[in-house]
Amino acid sequence: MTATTPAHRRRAWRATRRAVLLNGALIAATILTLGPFLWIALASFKTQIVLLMGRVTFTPVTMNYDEVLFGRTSTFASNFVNSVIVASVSTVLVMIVGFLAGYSLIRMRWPKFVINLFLLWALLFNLVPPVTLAGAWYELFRTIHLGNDHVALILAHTTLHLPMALWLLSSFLRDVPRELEEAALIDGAGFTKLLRRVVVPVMMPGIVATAVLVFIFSWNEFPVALALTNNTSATVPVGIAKYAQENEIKYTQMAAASVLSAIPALLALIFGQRFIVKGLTAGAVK
Amino acid sequence: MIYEMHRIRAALAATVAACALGAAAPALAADQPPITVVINQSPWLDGFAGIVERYVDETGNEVTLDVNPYAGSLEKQRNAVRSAESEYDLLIINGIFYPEMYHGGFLEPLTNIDPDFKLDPQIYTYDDTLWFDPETKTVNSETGDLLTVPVNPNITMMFYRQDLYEENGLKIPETWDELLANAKVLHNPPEMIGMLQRASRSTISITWDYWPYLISHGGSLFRDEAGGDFFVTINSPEALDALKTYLTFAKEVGPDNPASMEQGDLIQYMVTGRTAHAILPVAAQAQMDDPNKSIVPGKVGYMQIPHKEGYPSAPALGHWLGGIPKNIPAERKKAALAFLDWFQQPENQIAYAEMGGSPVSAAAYESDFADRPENRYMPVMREASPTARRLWTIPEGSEIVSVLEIGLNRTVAGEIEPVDALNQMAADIEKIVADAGYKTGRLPDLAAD
Amino acid sequence: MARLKHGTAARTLSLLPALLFLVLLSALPLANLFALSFAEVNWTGGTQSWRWVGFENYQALASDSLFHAGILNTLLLVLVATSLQVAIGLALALMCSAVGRKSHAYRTLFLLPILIPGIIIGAIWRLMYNYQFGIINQVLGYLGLGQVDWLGSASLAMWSVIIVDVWHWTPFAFLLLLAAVESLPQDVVEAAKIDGATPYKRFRRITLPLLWPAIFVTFVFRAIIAFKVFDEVYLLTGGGPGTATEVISFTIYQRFFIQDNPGYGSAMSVTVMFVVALVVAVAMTRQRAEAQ
Repeated sequence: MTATTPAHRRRAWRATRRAVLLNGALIAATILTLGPFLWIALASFKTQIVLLMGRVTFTPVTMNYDEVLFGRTSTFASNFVNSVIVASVSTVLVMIVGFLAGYSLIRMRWPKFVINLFLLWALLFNLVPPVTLAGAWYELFRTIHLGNDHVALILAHTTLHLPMALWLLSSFLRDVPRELEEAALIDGAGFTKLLRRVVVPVMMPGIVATAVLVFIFSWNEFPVALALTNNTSATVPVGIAKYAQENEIKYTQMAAASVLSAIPALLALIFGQRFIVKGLTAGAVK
Repeated sequence: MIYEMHRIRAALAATVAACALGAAAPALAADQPPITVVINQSPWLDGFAGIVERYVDETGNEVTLDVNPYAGSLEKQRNAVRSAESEYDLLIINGIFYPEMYHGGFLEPLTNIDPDFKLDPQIYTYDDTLWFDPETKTVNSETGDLLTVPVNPNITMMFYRQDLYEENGLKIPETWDELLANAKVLHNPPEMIGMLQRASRSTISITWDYWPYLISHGGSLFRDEAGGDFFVTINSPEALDALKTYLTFAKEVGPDNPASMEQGDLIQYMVTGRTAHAILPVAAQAQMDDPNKSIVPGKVGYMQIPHKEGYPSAPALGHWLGGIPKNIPAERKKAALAFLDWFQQPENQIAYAEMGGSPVSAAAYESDFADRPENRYMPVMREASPTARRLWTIPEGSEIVSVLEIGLNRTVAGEIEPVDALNQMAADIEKIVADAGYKTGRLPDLAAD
Repeated sequence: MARLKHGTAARTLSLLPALLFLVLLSALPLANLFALSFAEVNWTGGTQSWRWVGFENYQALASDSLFHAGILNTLLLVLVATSLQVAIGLALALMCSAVGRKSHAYRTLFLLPILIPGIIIGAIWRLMYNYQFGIINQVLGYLGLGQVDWLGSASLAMWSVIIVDVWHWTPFAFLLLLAAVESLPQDVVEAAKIDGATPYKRFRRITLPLLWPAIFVTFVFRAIIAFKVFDEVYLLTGGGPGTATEVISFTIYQRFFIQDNPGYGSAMSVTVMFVVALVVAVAMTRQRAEAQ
């Protein structure tokens, strides 16, 4: 106890009040965010009737996980592998293609109409309802003999999410101070070196945020995945949709499947957190 | 992509290998090329997968099931039959969407594949929905070609609380009035709802629920669909009578929020013991006796759907039909037909029932298996199957249903009067059918009450 | 401002892959969609026939009450939900940033809802909203507040959908805005602190203007994705009761797919795309004008 003057005390009190308010708000937001999520997780350990009766206490069961993973007509394991392949490959593709295009558009003296046309096209394409795309893509990929293949879905997802990445990355790129790049160029850095040493590190938060979103969008995409896959190439959302049946919605199995499907993303977030947080804070250097 | 082969396929392939190696390999072993069946996930899928496995065991022919989400199966089938060559050899088509397949000319008449093919006499024909006449464009068993064999009879029936009936000394109702009286006795909201209706609006929800009321009051959608007469009769006095009966149940023995009740809610109220009656498709019965899904196992009984005095009971059809696409090579068509022919045989239908499937042959419903207490729905099905009625037989049905769903749902919600709803729906439906080039017209508007 | 110098080869090569994707995989379906919107497609005898109908499909939109309901409901959903998401997302991002290192756990937690597929969100929230058994009414019951018919009441259903959408998609805004907040030039903020500006003034005068471009892009993109909302509504309300939660993507799905009327459905899609693109283009020009 060294702070004894009124001014000190007032300042200390203000700091405490601020901390309490801040943490209080964050905790409230956490509860609201986590509540439904926990409810889903709990549902995955209930029997259907316990869930429907809304019982507060119950004996946890693992039958939902059993059925999702080992049921007679279950395809969850292969759905999962397919989703990992499709989501990660298409994310990498989107990020590379989107970053290069974004950089090219923002920094490489394209006439204004090219830039606007490109961005507007990307935007327009994002407005197409997927249901109207799925049929056309099905025909296209069947014609070039890529039907029901991972390649078809990877290409489709890349196309689907490229516009978003292009937009987001362009907007983050605009915020990168030109002086940094000019300085690097004066120092004699080549194009790749410029990207690697200057541009990418500076806009790391934006790149990470975009990649996380693209991955999640691909992981959860349903209508196009449904049209372009069959039982052997189906992704997790297509598998999960099977639990919403005509005469029975299997809530508890759905819950179990969604917990299982959220695990990799969750693990990626937890283990990758250091990287994500670092990525998100890296830009603060400028 | 061998490492990802679907489990069923892998299992079936293993069985085939075992058969081929076994001493008692069947005489017919693998004389047909492999086929792929497109089907939707459902409570009866396990039974179907079981019977397919048995077919593979017996014949050595290879069958792959492509299992899809309910909503996705239609899309897969549509894409397949519209492409240069269908990737599927057998389509399991929903009883609501079959007109699209029939009218579009996507299915090969079964007797074109094998002139000797005959429908087994014990197979139910579900209001003659198996035949289509491409000349008159009508679903007609007299003049039409046989396009499909039914694979699942998902008709509606009345689910009720047998235990409460016994406690209160109630007797199984024949007519809607008798049902209303029983429901009033048991109605004790919010703990117990007298009767729940599926009055929500969806792709097809309240229409399917209203249908048995409409037909069993002597009403109809068109004057004579099978004869090609699409004169709209949905605004007849009979249809109004039916709608009023429907609303009476909603108001007097229904829940607070009838207009938002969908099928899942009906099942939920039933298994949690909070409704005395609900009209549900037969596929929902499997959940009633499962202690993990229901607190009333053994307490739910089944009965025929009531009717108005002087008219027959009319459950609504929501069945599934097996059809063979035109755009596949002849030998694959033959292989698909070989499976259908095997599937429709009485002994295999009984086996299908025993595996938890939903048979489509009278043979199964008349077998000893149907008399077991846990199969108490089966004798009701035996009565109900021949009287079950189709909804519509033209592809424009998917537009018509959207009109019906909104009009009926708004009536239950109290947003619009029954007379106005029926008049409006009749006008909208007449326009849809007229635009599509059918012979049509409609009854004069009903007068306001 | 002088632009950087790059070779034309690098310039072309860097744009080429994106161009290929856009032309090969998106131009074709889009052209198809556009052509379809002037046609009526029929299938007889297993073969397809197109009949050109000019602007008939577009004219029919004028009298389609479902289309009107879909547009109005979607606008309400997009405006309210997106504004809430951006506001909440921004608040959370600023708070996380203010807490600093200790906020790492929060950063992961706040992202959770976006990990769940929309179709599950619809099914699960339907159960939580359930009038009789749902957890929400249960909690209200304990608090003595009585039951609310979240999905069955025509006046409330849309707000229930908005709540779900906000829960599901706030992480989207949070993630993007957090990235923007963390990239704020610290020296400017520090300088303002030293000058003795109050936190509110610092926010209004410095943080907000700096964040404005990011907020704009987040809002626009979130709004565009919200315009396509489908999965959640599909199992949550199916567009009902009545047409209370009919959203435009649902109407398009009905017309295009369920009723198998691709011509009309395409006309609807093209109209919606055109209108939204127009709105966004106007917003973009104004945003640019303000920024300069």
